[in-house]
Amino acid sequence: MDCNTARMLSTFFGRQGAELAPEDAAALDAHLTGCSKCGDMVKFERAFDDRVAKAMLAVPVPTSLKGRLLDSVSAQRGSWYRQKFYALAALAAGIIAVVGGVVAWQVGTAPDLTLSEIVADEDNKARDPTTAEIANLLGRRGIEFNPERRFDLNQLAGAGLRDFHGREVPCLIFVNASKNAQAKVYVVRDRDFNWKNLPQDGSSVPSVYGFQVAVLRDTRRSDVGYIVVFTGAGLELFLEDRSQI
Amino acid sequence: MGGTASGQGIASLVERHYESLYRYAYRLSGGAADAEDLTQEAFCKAQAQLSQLRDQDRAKPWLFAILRNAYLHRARSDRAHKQVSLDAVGDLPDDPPPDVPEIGSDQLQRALNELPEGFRTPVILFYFEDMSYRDIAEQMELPIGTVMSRLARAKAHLRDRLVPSVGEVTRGL
Repeated sequence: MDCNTARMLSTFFGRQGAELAPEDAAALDAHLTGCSKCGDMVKFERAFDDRVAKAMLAVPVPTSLKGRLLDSVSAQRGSWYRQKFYALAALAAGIIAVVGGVVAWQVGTAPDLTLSEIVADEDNKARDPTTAEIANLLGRRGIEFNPERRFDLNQLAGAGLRDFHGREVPCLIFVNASKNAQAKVYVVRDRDFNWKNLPQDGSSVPSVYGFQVAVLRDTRRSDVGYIVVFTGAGLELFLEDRSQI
Repeated sequence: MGGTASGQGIASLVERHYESLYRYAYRLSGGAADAEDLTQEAFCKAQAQLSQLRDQDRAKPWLFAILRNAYLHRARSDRAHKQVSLDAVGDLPDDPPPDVPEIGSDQLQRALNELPEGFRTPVILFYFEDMSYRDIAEQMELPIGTVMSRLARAKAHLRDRLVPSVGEVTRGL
């Protein structure tokens, strides 16, 4: 090893002494043993390192520093908890305000009742209870009962929401007592079912209990239809005008 | 952050490392007041990020990194130090003096203050923490070759400033 290499390796020796590969360290030691000039230089370098390291650590630490640091991190923790508390309180206040607002809106927008409307409604029910019941049931969905064939409302035995293939739809039940026949009229919209795919020519499929299906359109709305599931000789049993079907 | 565990964790870190951290901050910033502010800021940041410390054995370099970042953040807006160019610093002396004089803490600090931060930090870590080149490179997120080069130049600057006979020789070159 020449002096230049030895000096370069000395520069990179490092204070931990482990920065050089073992073979380089051994070669450097061998050179330093035989070269007094490089030996003096490295000796100086290591002495200088020791002096600087000693001075580097000679920083007096204030005696009260630890207490101040512990106080500051503790205060920061307290501040963090306070912020969390305020954030949660603000969230709770927000929720209360929203819920209160919704309730207030509901109260504010609740429909008014007048004595005259109540009396008129009851008059209608008393005058024509069947029509009123149907109108009440369908009206909740914005529908009026206008099938292309007029049903005999005297046969209406019940009205309500029924499950129809997984969806709740209005259903009117007609009973022809003299013919021992029954019809369920499901009122559907396009948004409920793709009902227009059903055959509307009166064709049906065999049924164990004699059920048949008829599909009627609404006279005013194209998106509304009537799926009639009935027993008996025919749909005519439940219609006002029995000559048309 | 959260809970007593966090409080105990940071208190334990303060107990174990506050002296080293303060000394490091002092050597970086050059003053007691700045050093105390930096140490406090570092522990507060450490408390907020305590969940990121997965290996307790790495707590010290982790704290050092936090403190250095805090220092760099301040230093960006405060360039009070008069820094010297390292272009003229010399290599190892051909004829080194037989003795190295005692070096005073303030004398050393003045020489450190003249170094740009990128040179000051590795030389502090090298002497102060006895860190290896690899550790310094990790701490500063620099290639190890860059660290070795900066360290060599920073040490040369310190030699120039702290050992007068060397300074006379190299300045005369």
